[in-house]
Amino acid sequence: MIRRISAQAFQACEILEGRTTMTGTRVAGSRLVGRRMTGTKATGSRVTGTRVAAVIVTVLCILLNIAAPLDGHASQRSIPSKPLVLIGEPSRDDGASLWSRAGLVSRLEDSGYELGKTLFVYTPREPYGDLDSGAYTLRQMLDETIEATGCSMLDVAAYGVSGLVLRFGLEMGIIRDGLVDNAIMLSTPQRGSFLADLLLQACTVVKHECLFERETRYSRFSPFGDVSPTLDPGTISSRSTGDLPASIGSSYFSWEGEAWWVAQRAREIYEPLYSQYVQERFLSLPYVPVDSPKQTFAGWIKQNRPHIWENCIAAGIRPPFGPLPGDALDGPPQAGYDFTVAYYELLAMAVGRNQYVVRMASSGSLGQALFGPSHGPMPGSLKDAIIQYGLKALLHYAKKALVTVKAEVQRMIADSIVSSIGYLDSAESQFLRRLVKEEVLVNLGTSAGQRFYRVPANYYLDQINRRSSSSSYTRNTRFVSITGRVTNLLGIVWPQVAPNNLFCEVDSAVPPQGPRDTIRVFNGFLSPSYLNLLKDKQVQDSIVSLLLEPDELAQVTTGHSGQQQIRVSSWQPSYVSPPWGTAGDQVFQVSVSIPSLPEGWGCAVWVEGYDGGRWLPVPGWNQLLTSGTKTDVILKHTAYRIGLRLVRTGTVNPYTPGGKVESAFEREVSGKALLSVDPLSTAEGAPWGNSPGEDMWGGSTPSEGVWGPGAGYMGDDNGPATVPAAPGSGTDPAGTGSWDDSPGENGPPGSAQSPAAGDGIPGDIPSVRVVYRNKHTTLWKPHETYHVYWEVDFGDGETVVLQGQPRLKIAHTFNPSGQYLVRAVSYDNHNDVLVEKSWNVVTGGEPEVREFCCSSIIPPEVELELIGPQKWVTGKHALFSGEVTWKLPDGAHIVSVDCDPGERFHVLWERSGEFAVYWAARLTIDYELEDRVIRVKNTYVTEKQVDVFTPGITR
Amino acid sequence: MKNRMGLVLRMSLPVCACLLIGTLLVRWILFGDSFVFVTVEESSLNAITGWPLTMPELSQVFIDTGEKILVTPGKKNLLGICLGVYYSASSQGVEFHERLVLSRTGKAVLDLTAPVSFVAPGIDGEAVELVNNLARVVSGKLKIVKTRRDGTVELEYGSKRIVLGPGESWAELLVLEPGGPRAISADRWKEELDRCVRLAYPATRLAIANRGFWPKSGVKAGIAGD
Repeated sequence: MIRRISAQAFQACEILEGRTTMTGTRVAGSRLVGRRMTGTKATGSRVTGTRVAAVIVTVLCILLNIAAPLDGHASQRSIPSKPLVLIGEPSRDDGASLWSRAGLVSRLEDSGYELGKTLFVYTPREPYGDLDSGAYTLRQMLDETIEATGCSMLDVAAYGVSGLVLRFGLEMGIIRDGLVDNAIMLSTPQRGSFLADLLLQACTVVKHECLFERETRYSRFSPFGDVSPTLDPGTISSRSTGDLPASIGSSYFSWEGEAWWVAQRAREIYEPLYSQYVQERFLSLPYVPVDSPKQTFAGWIKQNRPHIWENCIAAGIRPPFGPLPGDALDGPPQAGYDFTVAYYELLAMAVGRNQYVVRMASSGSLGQALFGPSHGPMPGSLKDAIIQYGLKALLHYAKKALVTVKAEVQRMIADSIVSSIGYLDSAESQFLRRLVKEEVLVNLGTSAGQRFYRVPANYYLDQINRRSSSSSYTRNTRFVSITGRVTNLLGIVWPQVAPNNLFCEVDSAVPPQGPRDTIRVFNGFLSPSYLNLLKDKQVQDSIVSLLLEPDELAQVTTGHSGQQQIRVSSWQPSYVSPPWGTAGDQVFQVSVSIPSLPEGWGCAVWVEGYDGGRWLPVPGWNQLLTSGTKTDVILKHTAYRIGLRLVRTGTVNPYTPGGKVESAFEREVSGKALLSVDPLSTAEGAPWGNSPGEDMWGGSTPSEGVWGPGAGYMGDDNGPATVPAAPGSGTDPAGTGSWDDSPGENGPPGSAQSPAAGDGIPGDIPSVRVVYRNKHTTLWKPHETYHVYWEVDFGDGETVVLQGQPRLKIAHTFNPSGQYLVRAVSYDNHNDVLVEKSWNVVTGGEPEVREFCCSSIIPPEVELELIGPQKWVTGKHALFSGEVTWKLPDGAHIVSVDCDPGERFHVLWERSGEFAVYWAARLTIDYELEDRVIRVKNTYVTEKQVDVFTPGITR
Repeated sequence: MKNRMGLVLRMSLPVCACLLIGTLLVRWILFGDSFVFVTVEESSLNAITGWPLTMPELSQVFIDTGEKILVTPGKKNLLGICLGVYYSASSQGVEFHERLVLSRTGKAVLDLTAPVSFVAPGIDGEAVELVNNLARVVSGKLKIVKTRRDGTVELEYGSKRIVLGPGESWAELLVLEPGGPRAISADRWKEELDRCVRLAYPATRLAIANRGFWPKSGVKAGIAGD
């Protein structure tokens, strides 16, 4: 579906198989041109005379103190066009804001900002309470600023947790997308902070210690009383799975409260296990030297109680009450919905071992103290007896009192720590829960390669970031993350606390990255003094530069001089544009290829359009290129440019066996993209096969299709969902405006032709040059995903594995008067979980037979045909065309079809012999199952043998 | 007289240097790029009376016997080192003291009877001692008197003389009963320990293990990025 944009403005955009076409009217305003000129880095073939003239003019400008730089390196810093709001962390301190103390306010004033007119400083005086209430507070403040200044958008710089609140507001729509142009977030715990985990664990342990102290106070001080011993660890067999209720992880789970649950788990499981750990590990005889003298309690459980570890920690990746309801992300924290089962188990583990120590310290009655091991010789007189036994009694009660004192002191310390943090209101602060890291590292203390285990902890934050990740390509606010990096001197011994900055690790300070986002990591800031970060001149310069300087734009030149190399970075986008001239109706085809990339990284390529006020991404116009892949983008208007940036495809913070947590964003990773630009004739229109306005189903039904030359296919997700407002029209970037169902005036797809190839072949048909026999015309590998077997756990101890049967139908007899959680898991051909479904079964007084039905993924029937010559000669292009036909099962539909090297392609052999030509097609299929949609991408490859001869002259 | 003294001094300097170099050379010839590593674990039943706010384990030395890796808090000069002794004291799984001794002479002394301190802030800000040193039942100093070329170490503990070859270990569980300290036999340790827990008797296990030769290249400083 192509939508219309009103009046003079163009917009017909299509992306098909990595090929992008953009058409449009020209922008009349000089503002755009001026901006482009100032942001352009001279890279190409300017004539020497022009360079000399430019240098002379530049020197004259400098001499005359006129800022008129001509290239990107000496770009002009413009005056602020938008207000800037600086938001600090909540603080009860009435003194100057941290921004003023750090000198950033004066630095910004020097750069043209005016306090009260274009620069606003805001420090919340009360804690935010929660993310959503904080976001509403910020929205109100931003609305007031908008009202006061009359501007339609602004920039925001937020420090610490305020950055998280701001981002939450933007992600959840509390703050309108587009209202904030640049959201600069400094040292913000975007993925949580290790300190919050430590503090929450400490507060939990202290709370439970106080509860224990109160419960045992009478028995401890009673002359004949004693605290009850730890439960017998013998009741927890070596095959125990931890006694989690079957309903945990589902909405049927119930508890009396979070503290109750943690206390129960600590008392029944972890405290007895800890006593066993202490005895076996530290006091047993005969002594067997352990392989890991530094093994921790968690490591001991993992090694000696693997079933408990697997069931309670490794598998406890969801909250006790199951996943959050869809609309609960912007609601108040809900215990049991925000932390995972595994994290609750870790809390119970900490409480359990602390409780064991406290219980041991509290044990012993007065009688044992008086007549215990160190009673010494019998007193010779009554006076001696009074002194001897009196002292012992005093010592006994002092020891008992120490438990009370310690509990109270710890509570006071915890309270004072919490109250010293401006954004927390109490030790029970809900905000603290939000700041626990998405994943915490558990120290196992075993071998150097297995010392730490990553446990999903903050499910809520994880969900927020997942949502953020999915919208990162479409949001209109650019996220800028600035943080410091400090070498953690205990990095190998103690990496779980902070691989880098002591307060906010680099990877935790970086939110899910959109391609336009920017990261700046500075060295050597020994937090916790945040002022060290803000005071730094480099940081201040960076903020000013990000706000006031235009993006650096590289111009790719045309011609046959080969490909131009552009540096792509993981920290910031690179922008390129073709060499727009003064003539109208210019069309350029920009080819972007990625020769190689570091492992775990891909290169995002997208198109941005200028809406008269700022550059915005064109939704849907983006691609992720991997090593050895390429794409073509056709630009038909100066108001568009191409962005390139490395994006992380691997783990964000991989843990390396050496004991160190690596941050993907700690250091800038760079790669290179090769670009070439070819001018196209506008009369030929868009170089693609079919009209994007037509329905391009090739088959008779949506479940049967054919795609190939002349057929064309464009799924819903491939179409241009939205395009930015017309260049120069000034329409709202949020997407208001009218849309057209027909292509733009320059956009009727017609015969594909490009003069680019230079060897006489049509430019839109990819060409593969083959020299060696092992050359593959596609690098895509066959890959399919489909159901292989079911694993059904009936919740009563019986588990069955069923091969095949993608439509599961199974019956089972349940015992009377029971509650069972039945769980069916479908595994695919890679042994990964495909579908998971659970049922809660409650039986009455009689045995009951229940039947369960569930569907998984059935592979489609796909056939590939590659048409082309069987015999060919060297030095001439052979044309091949591929065709794919498919038949889908019910409930499945095709989203897109991609092929490599193209639906039609040329092969040019440079030597004779027997060769194989490979062609690949990738089908993206959505399977609509009972309660979810699963998307799979299947790649199919076919080949055709060709005999290649060298033509000769026969006499 | 002065000249004679000066001459003696001048003569003694090269002699000392030669002795030092000779000693190091002998050590290098005997032990090469490795050293004998011994671990000493003192584990008490109830020597700790409390646990401060929950914190991750703050021990600074990490030992991986599988890979023979020793992570230390800082860089160590390993020139001539032929013996490494790691001593840790814990109670109820809470480590409250650790020490790493690297010896060039093959000898080392650990004074196990010396009081150990582990403090937490008290109600008025004063330090509260959490280690009950009276509940640490040990026999005296532990001396490693000799490290042989084949990796065997000779130890003296109290009145005992212990010889441990590479891979060998020794342990003793002492209980402080009304009649004085008593060693518990290995076949009844569980019952005896349960009794100690019930009666709140102090008990301490001292375990010594000769971990054999460890490569010096396995000693790493605990600094990120190294």
